[in-house]
Amino acid sequence: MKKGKGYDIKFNVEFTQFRFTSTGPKGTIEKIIEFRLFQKNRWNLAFGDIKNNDWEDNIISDNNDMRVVLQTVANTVHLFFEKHSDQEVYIQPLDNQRKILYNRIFQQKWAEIEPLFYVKGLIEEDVFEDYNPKKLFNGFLITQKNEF
Amino acid sequence: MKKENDISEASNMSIGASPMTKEDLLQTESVLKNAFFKEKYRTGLKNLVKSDMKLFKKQYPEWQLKDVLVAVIKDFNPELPPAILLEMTQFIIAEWESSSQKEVVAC
Repeated sequence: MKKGKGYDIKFNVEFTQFRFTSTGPKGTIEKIIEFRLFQKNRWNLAFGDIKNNDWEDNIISDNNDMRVVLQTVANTVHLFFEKHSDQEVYIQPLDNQRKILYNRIFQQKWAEIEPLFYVKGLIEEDVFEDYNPKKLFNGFLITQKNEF
Repeated sequence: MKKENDISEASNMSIGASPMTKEDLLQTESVLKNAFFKEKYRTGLKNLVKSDMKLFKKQYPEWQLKDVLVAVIKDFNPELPPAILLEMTQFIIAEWESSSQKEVVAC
């Protein structure tokens, strides 16, 4: 996805932690996005609601603003790669519902994603292959394409 | 370089991005204190580890469990808490044993 108008974001200097406020029928919900190193140059992309000085990544807020939230998350991915251009971001769906959702997003937005990022999909738990919108993947490994 | 930074800053302002305050940063650190322990992080790391183990096995068929353990663990985030490091070590051992058993059955 290209950069676009999402929610206003606050970021840390390293561009690894981001916060924003979702607004909808359920009121305002404080959200957090974090890129945390796994190993080598691979980072986890985590996302959740701030609750009681902790955060929950396993709830569905249902605040009727999924499109704006997704655009906001996409904006943070762009920001992350601005400072960490040679790194990889891994997106791990937590459950089957999210797996289907994430696959749908990649399928629908592939024309926008493909010119900007290399994407590998995880199949059968331990093999990565080049992303193919016709297939269903268990995880997504993203690298930024060189601008030059 | 300055020009590139200016363009980037302008671009970030257009998407409504601004730096956290000192207070925001402190609160964010506190909120994220359990980030290593979240299921998503642990499951994601396990999937990457499995993928690496498969590659190592293909590249270095002579490697034993200890070689794989050393190669995988040395690349982990150095800030990984001991409890997660232990969980991952146990996971690698279990994966190694499971794949070795499958190979024996296949033979």
